Amino acid sequence: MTCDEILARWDDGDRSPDVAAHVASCPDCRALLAVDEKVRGWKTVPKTSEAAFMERLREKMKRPAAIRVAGPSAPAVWPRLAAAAVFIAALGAAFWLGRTTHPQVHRKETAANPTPAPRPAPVPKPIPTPLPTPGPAPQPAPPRPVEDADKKEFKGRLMAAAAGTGAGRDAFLSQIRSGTDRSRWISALRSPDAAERSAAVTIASVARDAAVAPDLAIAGARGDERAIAAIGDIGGPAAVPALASLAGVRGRREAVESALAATGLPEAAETLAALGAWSNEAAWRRLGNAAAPAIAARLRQNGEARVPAITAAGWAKAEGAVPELIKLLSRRDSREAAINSLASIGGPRAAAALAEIADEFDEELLKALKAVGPGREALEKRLLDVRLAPTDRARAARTLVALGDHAAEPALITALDSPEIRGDAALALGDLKCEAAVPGISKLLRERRFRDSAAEALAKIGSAKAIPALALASRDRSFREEALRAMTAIRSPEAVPYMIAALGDRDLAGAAIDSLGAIGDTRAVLPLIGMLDSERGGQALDALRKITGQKLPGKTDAWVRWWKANMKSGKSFDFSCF
Amino acid sequence: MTNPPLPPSDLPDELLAGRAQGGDRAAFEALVVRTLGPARAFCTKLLRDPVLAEDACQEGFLKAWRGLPGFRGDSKFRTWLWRIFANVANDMRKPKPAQIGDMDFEAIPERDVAAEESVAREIAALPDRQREVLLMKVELDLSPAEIAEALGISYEAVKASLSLARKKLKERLE
Repeated sequence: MTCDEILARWDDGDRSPDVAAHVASCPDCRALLAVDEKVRGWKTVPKTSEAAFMERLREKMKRPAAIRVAGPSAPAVWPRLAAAAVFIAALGAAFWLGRTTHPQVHRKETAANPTPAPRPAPVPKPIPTPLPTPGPAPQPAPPRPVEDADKKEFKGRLMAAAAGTGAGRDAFLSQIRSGTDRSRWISALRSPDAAERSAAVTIASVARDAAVAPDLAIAGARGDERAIAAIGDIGGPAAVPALASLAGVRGRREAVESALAATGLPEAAETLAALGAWSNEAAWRRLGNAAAPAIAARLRQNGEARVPAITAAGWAKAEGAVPELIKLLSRRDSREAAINSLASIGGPRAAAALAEIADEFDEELLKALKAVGPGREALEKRLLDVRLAPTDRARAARTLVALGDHAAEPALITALDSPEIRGDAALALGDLKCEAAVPGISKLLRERRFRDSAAEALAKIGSAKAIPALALASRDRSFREEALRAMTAIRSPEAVPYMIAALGDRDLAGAAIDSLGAIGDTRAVLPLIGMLDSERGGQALDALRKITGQKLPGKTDAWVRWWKANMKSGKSFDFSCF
Repeated sequence: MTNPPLPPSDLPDELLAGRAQGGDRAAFEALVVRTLGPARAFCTKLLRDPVLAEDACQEGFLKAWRGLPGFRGDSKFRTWLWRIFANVANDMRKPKPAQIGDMDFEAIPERDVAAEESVAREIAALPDRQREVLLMKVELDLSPAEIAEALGISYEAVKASLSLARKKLKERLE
């Protein structure tokens, strides 16, 4: 039997003599079983005492298990909502039939296009059973004079409460809330009498009773736009289906869209998306991140709604849609819109995504990165992320330069320590003319691989502080030309001795003469006089005139005479550094 | 509120479970007290997060309390309980490898903290299944057959996981 088989029997609780004897004598088996002891020997420390644990558990045991309640919370709402839908559908149909005098045509149209609205999401389902005419439940058929008087009295109180403020209205509201006048108020919302209906709507917007949304929808369908707005303001679970049922009613669309936005609910966003209300900028802005699930769903689909949904995501600043927008960056047809949306949403995730694809030539992306807020931070993160490929990090450095944000300088200086990208970081710092980076970049002059970049960067920065390091580097013959060229560009008095030395170099003489002329240091006068007879005499004359302010001709004798008369007693020049 | 008196300690788990099924909270609490130690050790070592482990224990016992009508006595009470715990801990398992640094090694003196830390690290490095099986064997004292039943996998798979886990740990802790 193998050790594995023995141990399997041991684990099963088999302690027969042959198993026990093997385990006792076999060092391998004992070592394996010792592992169990080691695991057991790791003592964990519980977070709480036993008593505290029991106390917490007892509390939980007392509570009944949670029962999930599905569906809309107010059970009374749905039947009325259904009634509202039927009523509104009937209203729409009546309108439609009234519009056309040719029923044949109408029938054809409806057959070709059976659903007028494109899948409005939470529109109430068709009513399974035929409902009686909509209206409050207890309504005896023959109106009696007593009831008429009662109705009249209620209408009076309703109108007064709607018109007034203060104690009278408060009393009326409390009666509605306590249920006494509730059903009469609800029938007033559905009343054909415009004045009564309007008063009831006014009361609804004060009472803020979410359960009357279906009744407000009927008032809205009958022409009361304030009722539609009130549904949105009051909100609640019944608001979105009620508004969706109104979407098909002619002339109400705009009010419905605004009211949907006012609810601030994700379902409202879903309905707006299903209605194709993509151009309603104000609505999407108002919905904000609540619109994210609806928008993200459209972004995932390869449908017509995708491009307008990208724009809507930007309006809504839908943070939740960012992952989907990022995916769309790789698609040519949606890239530009996605960039703009991400820029207006902002935040670190959007910034990171934009930073990932940015380069210094893409103006659109640069604009987006500036707008996105933490765009620079995202680029800096990429710059310093050692897990990324050096080419990606270098691209981040160049993009930072293109952004022209001097706040990126500390990160770029840090990047000088990173062997893979220090050359790129130096060039970036040069482009930003970052004086603080001079010591760091100067150090790179010692490294063969990076010294060209370092010299170029130092030349661009133009700080005199770089001169000693460049002078030191110029001692290396193979690097002399680059170092002197950089010093020429810096144009600082500290560089004058080196410029004078460069006059003897055919390739550098021209630049050195210009540099000396620009620096204007009198130490250069005699060496420049010495150049007057050379092929660069004209250039030397210009420089001399600039330094001395003299308009002498380009003759060596004339300048020497002038020099003896004016300058000889001046500073002497020390060539000892060469 | 006064806590109910604990029932005699010599009653077998299954008998206490029977009482608890009849609504006797004290009996159930006695079961909790009996099994809390291994439950906590198992959850803490599996989840490597003391706070999460505490929540897992609460959840496990609560589920057991509510699921007591489902205990039919055809297995040992502990096997039934540990099956619940295996599920709860599995649900809570973090997707990313946890920080060993979170573990409180300093709390108890006179221990070889460094050795325990390396045990903890190596356990954390085991594949999920192997770690789970090993801890069920060691901490919950379940037989391979019971582990197989609790995890819903084959007896062979349990034996293989257990053997692999032990061999790996032995090699790395030498």
